[in-house]
Amino acid sequence: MTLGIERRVTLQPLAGQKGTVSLPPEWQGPAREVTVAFGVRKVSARVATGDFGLSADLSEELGVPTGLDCRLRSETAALRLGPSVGILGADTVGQLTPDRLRALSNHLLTMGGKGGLFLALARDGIDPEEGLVSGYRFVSSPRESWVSGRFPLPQVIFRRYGARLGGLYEPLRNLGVHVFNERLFHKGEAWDWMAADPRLRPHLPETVPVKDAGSVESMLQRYPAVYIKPVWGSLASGVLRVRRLDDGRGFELAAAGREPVACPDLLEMRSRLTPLLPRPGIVQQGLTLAEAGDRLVDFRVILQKDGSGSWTVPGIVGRCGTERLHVSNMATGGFPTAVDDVLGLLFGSHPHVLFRRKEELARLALAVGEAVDRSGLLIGDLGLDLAYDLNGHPWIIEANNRDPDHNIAWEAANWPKFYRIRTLPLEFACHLAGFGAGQGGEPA
Amino acid sequence: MTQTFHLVATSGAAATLYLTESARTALGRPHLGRVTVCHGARRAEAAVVSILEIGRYLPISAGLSAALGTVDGVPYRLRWVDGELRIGPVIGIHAAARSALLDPAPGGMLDGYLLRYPDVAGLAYLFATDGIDLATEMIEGYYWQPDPSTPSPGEYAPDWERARKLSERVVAAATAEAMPLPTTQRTERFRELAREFYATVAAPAPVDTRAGAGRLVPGRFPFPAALWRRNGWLPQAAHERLCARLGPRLYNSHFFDKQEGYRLLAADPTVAAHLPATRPFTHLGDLVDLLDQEGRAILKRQDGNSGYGLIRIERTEQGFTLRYRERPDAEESFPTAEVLGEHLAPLAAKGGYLLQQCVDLPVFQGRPVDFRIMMQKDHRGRWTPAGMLGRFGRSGAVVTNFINSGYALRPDEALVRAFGVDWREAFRLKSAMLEFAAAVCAALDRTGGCYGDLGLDVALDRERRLWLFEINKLPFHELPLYMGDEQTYLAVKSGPLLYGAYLAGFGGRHREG
Repeated sequence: MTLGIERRVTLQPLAGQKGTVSLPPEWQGPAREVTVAFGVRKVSARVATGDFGLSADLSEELGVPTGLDCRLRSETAALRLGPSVGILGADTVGQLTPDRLRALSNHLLTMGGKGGLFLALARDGIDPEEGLVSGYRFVSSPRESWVSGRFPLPQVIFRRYGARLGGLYEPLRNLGVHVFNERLFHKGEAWDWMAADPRLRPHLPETVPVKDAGSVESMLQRYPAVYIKPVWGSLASGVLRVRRLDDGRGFELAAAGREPVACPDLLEMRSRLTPLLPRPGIVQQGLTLAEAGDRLVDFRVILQKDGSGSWTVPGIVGRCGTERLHVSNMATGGFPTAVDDVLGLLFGSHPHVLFRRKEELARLALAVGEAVDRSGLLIGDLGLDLAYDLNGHPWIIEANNRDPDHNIAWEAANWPKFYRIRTLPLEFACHLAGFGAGQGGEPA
Repeated sequence: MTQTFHLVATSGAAATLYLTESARTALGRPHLGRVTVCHGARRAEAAVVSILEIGRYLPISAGLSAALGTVDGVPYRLRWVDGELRIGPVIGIHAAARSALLDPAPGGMLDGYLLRYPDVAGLAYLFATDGIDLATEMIEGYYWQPDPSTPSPGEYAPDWERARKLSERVVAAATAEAMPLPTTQRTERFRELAREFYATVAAPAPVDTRAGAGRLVPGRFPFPAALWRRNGWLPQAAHERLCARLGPRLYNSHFFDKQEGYRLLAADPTVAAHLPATRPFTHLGDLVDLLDQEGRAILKRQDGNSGYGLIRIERTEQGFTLRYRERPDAEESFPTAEVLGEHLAPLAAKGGYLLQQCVDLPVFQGRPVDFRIMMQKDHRGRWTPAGMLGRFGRSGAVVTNFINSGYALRPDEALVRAFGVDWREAFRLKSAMLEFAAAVCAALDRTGGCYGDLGLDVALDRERRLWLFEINKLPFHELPLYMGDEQTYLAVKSGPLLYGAYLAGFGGRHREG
């Protein structure tokens, strides 16, 4: 039997036989016994010659839904049926309303014609002890629909943002289920992972954890301005800026949405700052970022794993800030803008320059993806905030794994990109399940 | 992490390459001594000697540099492959027939081919047919010299003058076996040199990165390790010599014509079902049979481009009508199959025409719609879609060839118009077409030949069945410009450099490691 061959099959039930799988001759090896795997279950089967089929007892033991249209793949030690993939889309099965399910089917747009078991799951429907899940199964034809039922544990679970796993991660992993986007990470963790990569070091603003006002003071000795951020915050929420005033006239403390306060000396600054310090939080070197027509601009780079398991950049969006008082290293309250337009404002709009700059941002992002992989977490989606300083040097402001596509969704006109970002996680899931595409991508 | 190194030619004719600690680490700490060193298609035996760290500079003896044809000022990568030390990648792009057509102006035609140089590094050069010198096996053209004052992220800004002086001294110290210095003092001397070096040259430059800036510089180069043919014309002698030296790393080496392409693909079961039935047009009876079955048929020239010479024949109530691609408004009518046969007999007798099944293209405002998918191999040697567009032919036209009279749109938008579907369904149809294109390219790979840059003409008929019309071996990269998409044009134009690096044995992105 050739390894790695794959084809689409609908297994016929074998009447009157037990413990048997039937295969055409070219799918058979010398062994008369073969392991058949589906999801995380495995059975041993006798090989008979015929069209693709499985006896009813084995179908039941594996939990293969009757008449399932799926793919069959020959692996080293087994025949694998699949892929079987679950999308964790809510905390309770009750929250998987028809509207929610319709939204989840966008993830499956490129899966419909290929075969496999695709499930919509909620945390309270997963029972690792029984090896079963209650949820909905995706049916692609004659029209897209979801059918409720109980199914065997899938081989891969894609955790959507907002859906929580609770204590299920460990038991699922012990059963051999690959869960990706297994948890959120915070700013401090992300910085540590990235800083361990010497290629990224020149692009990372110096960052230290907040212990007390002293951590801020020591950073202020090295940089004229610093930002203090809660590790779990997003955008500008809870961000403070402290900067040294010229001629030793003390310090200025600013918080988002408030008037900056001048502090004549260190003591005053310390007493005002201490109650505001976020715990846990980070202190970050202030950067002088490039502006376009006195708006701060930055870039959201979307980074996802594809059907070959590699990081890819499906989109970059520019953002122009509305905030005149730059209380964060980011274009807060900004609006998404086509990346070419924003780069054009910064560097001129020669098409070669735009292309090189986008490649530069994408290269940096791919290196960030690799750095995050070295943390050992299984992550399939990242959102990066990158910005340029006045010298045209790119900086990594932040890497996070919250919903990576909200900006693109805002940029409502670009539907092809929206669907691309929606469908990539399932391509990656198929790769994890051993049914990867091998070929990749989508035109620029 | 992949690092790059600058070779600094030092005096000395004996073939010697000096490897610093970081270079040896990058190579996986191979055994040194007598080693075959490769640069492009050139090879030389050399002594490879360990030397104290001097940043990213590797001294190379002038003799070895000349034998290998290495170029100063470009950051090279090193690989240890099959017991050979490879310096590279060295990639040649055959870009034009005559050198006078090569314009090295910054931001111009030529440097667009090299936009992804930061992913590749090494020696990448562009040349014309008349730049090839078979006697010396050298090629004259332009290479990309990255701007030394603006290194890529994480790289050093080289100071050549100092690097050269220091290399001379370090090499002198390393090779001066007769130098009557105790070991400790020599080590001390090295340390001193290294400190001096770091203080001035090798300290990380205040980094910026005007993203991959550089310029095209004229020069003479050895045959490359991988050569990408962007121009069809290569004299027989040059072709044979390049094939002999480069072997499978000359890509687009084998050009097939329509009939051969059809034969290659029809043998593959994954593709065969999607090919319109095609055969040489030699018997009028075949045409009559096809018209009886389908009501329509296409005659096209075996060697034609862009639908040139194409004829569409249709059965009507009055008999048969003929329309020519060149004269879409002039319709010829024939009352019977016999009269039609008389008219077409010379074509069948002359040969050179193919008879093809007609595919029902969707029509938008009277314009037939099909698609061009540009498939390229990437830095890992895998087929990737580089660009795609929907083509809207001239109203009532025989083919969608749009340059003179139709227009092009982005694929999703084209699908929305052609089939009246929403964006979601358009995305699904597009994905299916892209997957099909990847399967076609994989099938073509199985037939042998080395391809990395193809243009596929693909359609969905009115029943949304997939069809493959043709594979273009030298596709127009400019097509996306017809839909006003400069960035996709540049992506398509610059993509093959990545595959060149892969073929040259330097797969994987430089920055990716």
